[in-house]
Amino acid sequence: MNHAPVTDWNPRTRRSDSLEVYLLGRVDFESAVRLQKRWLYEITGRQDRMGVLLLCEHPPVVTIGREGSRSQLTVDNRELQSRLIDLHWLNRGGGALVHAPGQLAAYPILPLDRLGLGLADYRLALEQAVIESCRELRVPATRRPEYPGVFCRTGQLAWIGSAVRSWVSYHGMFINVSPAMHLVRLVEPTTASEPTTSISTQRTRPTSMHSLREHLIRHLAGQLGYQHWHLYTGHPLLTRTGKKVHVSA
Amino acid sequence: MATPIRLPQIGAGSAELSVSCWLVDIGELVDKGDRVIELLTAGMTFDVSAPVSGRLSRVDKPLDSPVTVGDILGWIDPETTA
Repeated sequence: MNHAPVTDWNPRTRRSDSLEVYLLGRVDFESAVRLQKRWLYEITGRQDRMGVLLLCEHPPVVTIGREGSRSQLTVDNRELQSRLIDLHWLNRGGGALVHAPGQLAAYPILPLDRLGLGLADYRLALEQAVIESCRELRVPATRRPEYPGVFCRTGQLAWIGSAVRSWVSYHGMFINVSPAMHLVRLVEPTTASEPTTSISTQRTRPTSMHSLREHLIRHLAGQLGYQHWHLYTGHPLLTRTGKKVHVSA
Repeated sequence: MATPIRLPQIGAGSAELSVSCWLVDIGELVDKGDRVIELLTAGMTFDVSAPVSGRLSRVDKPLDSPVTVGDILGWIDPETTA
């Protein structure tokens, strides 16, 4: 490891080889997208290998990627509105997904070309990091080449819905740790034969979000070839707001 | 002379690639590096950039067409945008 003192403080020429990890807690979906775009422009303009990983949870929200359709939803617009759940159409891969507290959203914003990764390598790195993290939680999990995501005995527990612009990745993947399953079931899975499940269901006991986060950061950094990563809690561009959300009785 | 927009080597492996959407219409001006077409593979989208500045003159791969590395996706007529 190189511990030479930093002498170049010019942000235009200073080079970084690390993964910057932001633990954001619960963030509304629009703010997470804005923050990703901010980092997307920053990473696109750099010449080094620096990458960013945003980790957060979202209040209940439905998103539909390029491989999804409205027909995946089990409820109509009126019911979504009555539950105060927004619907967003996105330019990511993957189908329709419900995001809710208890699901870890991981948004890696990475210069794939400078990391020497093709699209298949990138997908494999994401899936392998989740599989290794699950293994540490004693949940056997596997990948399936024909379907992006991670699967365990009781169904699919992680989904990939990513986008790559100018060789920089954004959007990302979603891992069900312990979401409320009545919310998750608002959307039918794209892989019809696999039900939606979670890590807690598989373990039949509660699983803490922070333990999965810790495993995921370590394994994802390893899969992507980062030797250093820095952790931050929150982000200066995010402000604390209140939002009314549906809570079932 | 028109310049082809080719699908570069993107390391998608054996996964199928298809055209998700064109981000510009035929006749529209683009700058070199502008995103012109979005491709879709399992779980991922990938934006292809314009190789030169000019006007999109032809689309060879319409929506939902399967594509492979090296395919010509469309053509750009170079011209001054000033």
